[in-house]
Amino acid sequence: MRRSTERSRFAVSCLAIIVLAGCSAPAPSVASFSSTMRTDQAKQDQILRGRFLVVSHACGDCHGGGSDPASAGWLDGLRDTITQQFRVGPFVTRPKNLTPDNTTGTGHFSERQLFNALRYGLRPEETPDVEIGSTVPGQGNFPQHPHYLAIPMPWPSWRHMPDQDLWAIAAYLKSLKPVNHKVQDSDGPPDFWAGEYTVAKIGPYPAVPYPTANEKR
Amino acid sequence: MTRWPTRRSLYLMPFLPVFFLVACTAPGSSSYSSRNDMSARQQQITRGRALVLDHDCAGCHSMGVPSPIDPGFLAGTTDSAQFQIGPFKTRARNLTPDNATGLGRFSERQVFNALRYGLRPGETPDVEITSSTPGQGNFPARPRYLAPPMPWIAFRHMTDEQLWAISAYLKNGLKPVSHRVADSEGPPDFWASAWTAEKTGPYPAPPFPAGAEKGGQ
Repeated sequence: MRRSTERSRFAVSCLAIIVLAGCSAPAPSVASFSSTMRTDQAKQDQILRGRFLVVSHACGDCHGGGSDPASAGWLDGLRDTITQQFRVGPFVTRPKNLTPDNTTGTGHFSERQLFNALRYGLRPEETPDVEIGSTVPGQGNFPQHPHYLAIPMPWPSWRHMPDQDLWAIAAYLKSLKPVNHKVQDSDGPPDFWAGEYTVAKIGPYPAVPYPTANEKR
Repeated sequence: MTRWPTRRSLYLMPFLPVFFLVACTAPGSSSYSSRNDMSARQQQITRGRALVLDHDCAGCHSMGVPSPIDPGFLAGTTDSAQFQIGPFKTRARNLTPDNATGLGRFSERQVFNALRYGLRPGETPDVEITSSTPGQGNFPARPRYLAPPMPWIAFRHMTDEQLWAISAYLKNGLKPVSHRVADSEGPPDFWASAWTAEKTGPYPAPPFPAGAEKGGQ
């Protein structure tokens, strides 16, 4: 229903532009029409790229739906405590709902907050919606007391994706249909895992240049 | 913001010797195309490295810090980090090209077939596979699959070019490390009943938009 309404609204606005273009001076209207089309196409391409990355990085293996976007429960969080719930030391951690539902998912988070979660491991719930330019707490908008995503979320690997890939994943997640499904918050230590995410434990970012002593050309 | 120029120049560093070689050798001494091939190969290996890093391969297949700076990088897991899948213990194996304990005896195609079809290189012939139906198109009549939780179901969605790049990096970009990891336990059918199409979802992925996807705008 919703999609067809949006489509017809889109068609009406296209018609209006075409009529306008016919009535007024052609050059500016045609230019804005084609730039709108270009923007829509670019957004669509970005969402498709994000989908490819989400599928091939196994996000659904923990967050629901495996690698099949058509499956029930796609990315809407913990539903099976046997396969999707983790025990990390004394703590139970749970993959959350990644669909853009406002109360139970990522609806209230911006694409930039999702980007910051994937690049820096920062929980969108407690991290301001700002551009971050450092990984040193207190510098370049990196929080003084960072609250990190719970283990085993593999953001120390995901952070190595290029900017445009992380933005594409954020755009795809925000483009999903919202699913209202509450997942209980993960347990964790008082430092929000800061002691587990030191350079000594997760390695440097960016990755050291190739080849290292363990690699060859 | 200073990170990006630094990172880019770090990535360029490995290519510097190539530039020097190209500049210093007499033009006739080696053919232009062989130099081109060499640099294309080097680029493939570098792309494979980036994919290995951002797909979290080291999350399971490494000892120590999951980074190329660690001597245990991709050399397989330790006993303390094995998985318990039902009654079976499974272990992430040594991915370095050591002949006795790693991937040394497997071809890049066998590694490709492991990532695309989930087939164990040790028991799968080194042939091009064109079907995923047992007994057809060189797909083994009795497939022997990699043990869970190896996420080949997700990794198979990468493009051919990406999977070849990962194989090229594992076989040619790493130094061999001798580290024996005990073989994973598993059911007599080598996980065939765990990896049925109903359980793994479709390959290739269903067209966009599917299920909970809105289709962009």
